[in-house]
Amino acid sequence: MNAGWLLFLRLIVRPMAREPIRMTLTILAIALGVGVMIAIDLAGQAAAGSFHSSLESLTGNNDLTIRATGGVNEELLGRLAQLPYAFDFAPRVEDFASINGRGEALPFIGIDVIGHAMRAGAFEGGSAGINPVWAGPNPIWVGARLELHKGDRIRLLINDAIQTYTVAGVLRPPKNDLGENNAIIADIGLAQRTTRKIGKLDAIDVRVPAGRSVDYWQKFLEKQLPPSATIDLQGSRTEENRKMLAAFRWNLHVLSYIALIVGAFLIYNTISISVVRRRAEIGVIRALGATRSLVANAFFAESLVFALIGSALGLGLGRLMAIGAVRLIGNTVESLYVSSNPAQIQLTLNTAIAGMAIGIAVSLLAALAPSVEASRVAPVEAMARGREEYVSRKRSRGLLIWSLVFLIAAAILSLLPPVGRQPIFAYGSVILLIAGTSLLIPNAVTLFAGAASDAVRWLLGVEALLALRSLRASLNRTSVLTAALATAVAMTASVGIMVGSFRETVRLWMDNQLKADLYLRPAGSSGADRHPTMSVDIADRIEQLPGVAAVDRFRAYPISYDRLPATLAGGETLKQEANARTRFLPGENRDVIFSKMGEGDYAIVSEPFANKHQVRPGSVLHIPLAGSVHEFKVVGIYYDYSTERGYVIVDRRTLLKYLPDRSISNLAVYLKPGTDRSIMRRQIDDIIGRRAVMVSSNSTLRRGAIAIFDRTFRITYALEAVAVIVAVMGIAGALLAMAIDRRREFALLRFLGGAQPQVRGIILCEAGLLGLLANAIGLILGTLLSLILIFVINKQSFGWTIQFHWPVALLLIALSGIYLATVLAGLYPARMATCMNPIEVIHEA
Amino acid sequence: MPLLEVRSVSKIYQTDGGPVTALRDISFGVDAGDMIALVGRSGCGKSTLLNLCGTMDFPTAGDVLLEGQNTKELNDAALTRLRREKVGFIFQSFQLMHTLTAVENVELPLLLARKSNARATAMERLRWVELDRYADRPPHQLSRGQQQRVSIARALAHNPRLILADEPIGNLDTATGEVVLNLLVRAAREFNVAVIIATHSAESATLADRVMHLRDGRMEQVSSEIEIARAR
Repeated sequence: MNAGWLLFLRLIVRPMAREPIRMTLTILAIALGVGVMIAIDLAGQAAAGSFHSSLESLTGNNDLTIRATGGVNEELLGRLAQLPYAFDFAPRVEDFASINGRGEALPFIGIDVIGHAMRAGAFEGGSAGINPVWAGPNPIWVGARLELHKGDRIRLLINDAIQTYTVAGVLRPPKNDLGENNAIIADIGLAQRTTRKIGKLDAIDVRVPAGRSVDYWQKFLEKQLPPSATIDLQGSRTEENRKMLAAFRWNLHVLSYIALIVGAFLIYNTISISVVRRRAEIGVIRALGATRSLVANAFFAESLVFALIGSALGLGLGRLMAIGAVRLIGNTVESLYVSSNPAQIQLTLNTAIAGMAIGIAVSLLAALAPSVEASRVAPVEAMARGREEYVSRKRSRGLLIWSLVFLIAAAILSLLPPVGRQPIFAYGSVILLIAGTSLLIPNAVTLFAGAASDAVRWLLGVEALLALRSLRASLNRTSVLTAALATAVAMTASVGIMVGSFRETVRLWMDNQLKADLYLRPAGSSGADRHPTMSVDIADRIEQLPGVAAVDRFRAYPISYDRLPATLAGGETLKQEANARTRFLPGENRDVIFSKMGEGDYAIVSEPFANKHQVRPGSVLHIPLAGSVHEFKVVGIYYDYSTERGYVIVDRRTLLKYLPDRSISNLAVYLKPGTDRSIMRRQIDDIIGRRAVMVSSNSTLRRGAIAIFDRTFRITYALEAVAVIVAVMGIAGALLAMAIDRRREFALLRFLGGAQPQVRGIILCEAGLLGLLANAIGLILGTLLSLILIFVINKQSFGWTIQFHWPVALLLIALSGIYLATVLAGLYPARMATCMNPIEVIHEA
Repeated sequence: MPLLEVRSVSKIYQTDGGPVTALRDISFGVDAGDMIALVGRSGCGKSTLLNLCGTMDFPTAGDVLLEGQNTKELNDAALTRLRREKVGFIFQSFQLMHTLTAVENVELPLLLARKSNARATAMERLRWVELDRYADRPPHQLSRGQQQRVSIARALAHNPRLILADEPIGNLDTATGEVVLNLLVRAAREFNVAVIIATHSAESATLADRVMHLRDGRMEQVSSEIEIARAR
């Protein structure tokens, strides 16, 4: 048998088998790290993949899509159809519907059913000859996931109206379709009537004639279109959405690596323990002729075993965790970005290979230093433990210098601008800050152990003193564990502070922005890109009620600006000025801005829009509307936290000038002081009548917004929790190793009159002190990281200004939970230590 | 009443290869101030007997009474209390805690027993073994002889009635071993503490008041002070 293999089996595998629990914990740490990474990747793909499938798979293989803000005039289709080329044009109307006005928003797509059936043959039982089941009223075809059958009658809420429709057939999903299959298709005429888009189309899909490139035809058609219309390659909207989601997904990816980074600390620790324990054996085999590389490879192989098993388990775990993650991510995407329904989760070979590769690479990298250290053990070396400590302490002084270098570099990187709208340098700064702090930890432990010695002994007795001394004595191990837990704590604290600050900022923003007493919007679920409308007569009649001081009619249209999704909206700016307290960026005069708005083509933009498109007051926006491109001068940038898409707001009169559809997306109602709200509410309900319009009080709206906000960040908390679990598992494993390594010490204590509870107390104290130190360092590091997250990463990725705020209660709960978990992690090792037979142990060789 | 009374004690260990008898029908008594050498080859049962005397283990048959208290009748907590008040241990490999300084090692039994004034008592004992100037040194900065002297100071720290020394000079050279043995003799006299030394060294035995010879778990011979003096 090969010598290296034999060495590996005898030096590494045999001792591993003797400690199954510790080995399992290490493997689980890797599995969780890889699993989270895979889960976020799969869930992100699924969430981003769903809008792709809902539109594109249903509309077949087209080359180009024509769109215009507020819709394309139907006559354009007639004109294009007369072109003397074999184009194939497919008109489309898009909206959202919900069954019985409840549940998820389903894509409601109006197409030329006959034409489409002839082209795609996608309908059940229908090929060229469409089955005239449409004998029923309002025929629709539904996706298979809705579990409806031909002939079923359902009530759909579209905008503010509920109507009954008949299922004329079930859509046959295209081959290999990953879509959610939940769309509802209607003939275009019906869709136009239902969505109040008579004479309008949301898009025209184009299949170009053969013989020339798509690019050629795109340029050709561009010339035929009015300036307000755009023609893009099919899928460009999906690409825009993907681009918009890139920062969000990128940030999630980075968060998902934390558990693996924490896992890497633990791999380092595990291999270090292996090396320390086998120093004598290493010395002997080196004396017997083993080369340095043979020794290093044996320890590398140990980490490879952990990595292979852990990463393989991580793949399965990731696939399972993705189910939960996709729901959480889907919620966020839906709330902040774009309508989306989770698509199927698919663990592809590429994702699996990438996950395995990262898991193995991180594990091997983490094992590098201890493996090299093992190879440097001198033959027949019998290093006294005291000497080891001395070497550790000396080394820690050298680390101090490196630590300072890293921290200064981190500070510099945090000041650099983004690269391609990605906060690359800021992430570099985060990594350097974590690395710099980790290198500082040996000195922090020494300082803490020295300074706290007397206090700890006085407060907690001899058990705590022994625990503290042990922490200082095994500086290498303690530092790595503290660094792992501190990193997990820091990430939890930083994300907690960031989310808490964001939440408080949003709450304050709502205090200023939401001043109306009642808010009305079409019933059914809303989304960042869904702006269902309701009839304006509701607003007109409410305005006439005696108790109403003012109403603010608001209309929003999804647009594409600079190849990124955004929202164009019109509001009654004078009423906003009088009633709401919209806050603008420092240095901007609110009164001047609002007075300007009513004068013509002026716009205010939200902060995320301004940051995304580098817009400043005085900038001119070019927005294609009503047949031509119009210029809007930006007069102000306001704080907005409702969507990351970004808003361009013009006065309602300006908007109506170009898009004369008076329907409104929502309505704010300001009541006169002293008005009886219940009477007013009844009167408003009478005006609404049978229309599906939702009325929310100010407080309900705020509660709803905060609920959405909290839902949005659940995924980040879940990721932090996994990192903390990995770190606590590491602590448990290390304490177990410590209990085994220090068994003679514990046995001696029993000889010297130490009781079993005292031995248990030492291990629990050690866990407690480790937890305390890690929590303290983690909180400081977390606060620094939160500053980078809030003022650099968030600003560069999403463009939001967040006011710093300490979420004291949240931090207290989170850190206490982590602390408790750390102490509990010591229970099993403590039990093991008390169960040892002191006589056997003390007489061991 | 003798300080320590060992009555017809036997100890049998159950092993994979069947039961192994470590001690057979051992009886003896120890009074305060006695200096006893337990002599025999490795594996004859010396350490087992010390562990039984030190309340670290129970006999399979017979009784061990320390100041009249039968160890068989006490639970773990009571045995721990008895040990921390009445017994001091000295080991061949010193067994000092490397994370503590010399004085901290000495005060450890006092701290475990929650005794007040631990530091002052520990310093006093270190002074007694003439190592007070090394009080703040960690063990690895002391010689082997010094380490064993610290270990003697630790064994005496809580004023025990009985000191059990398991091969106390086994890891020391002859001259240093002599110093250590003399310290133990002095301890017996000055503190009126009974000392039992397990050893296979004839030299250690010559300093004892009584020598008990163990062979294969049996007490073969007990030499009195007069016989030892004659042998000298």
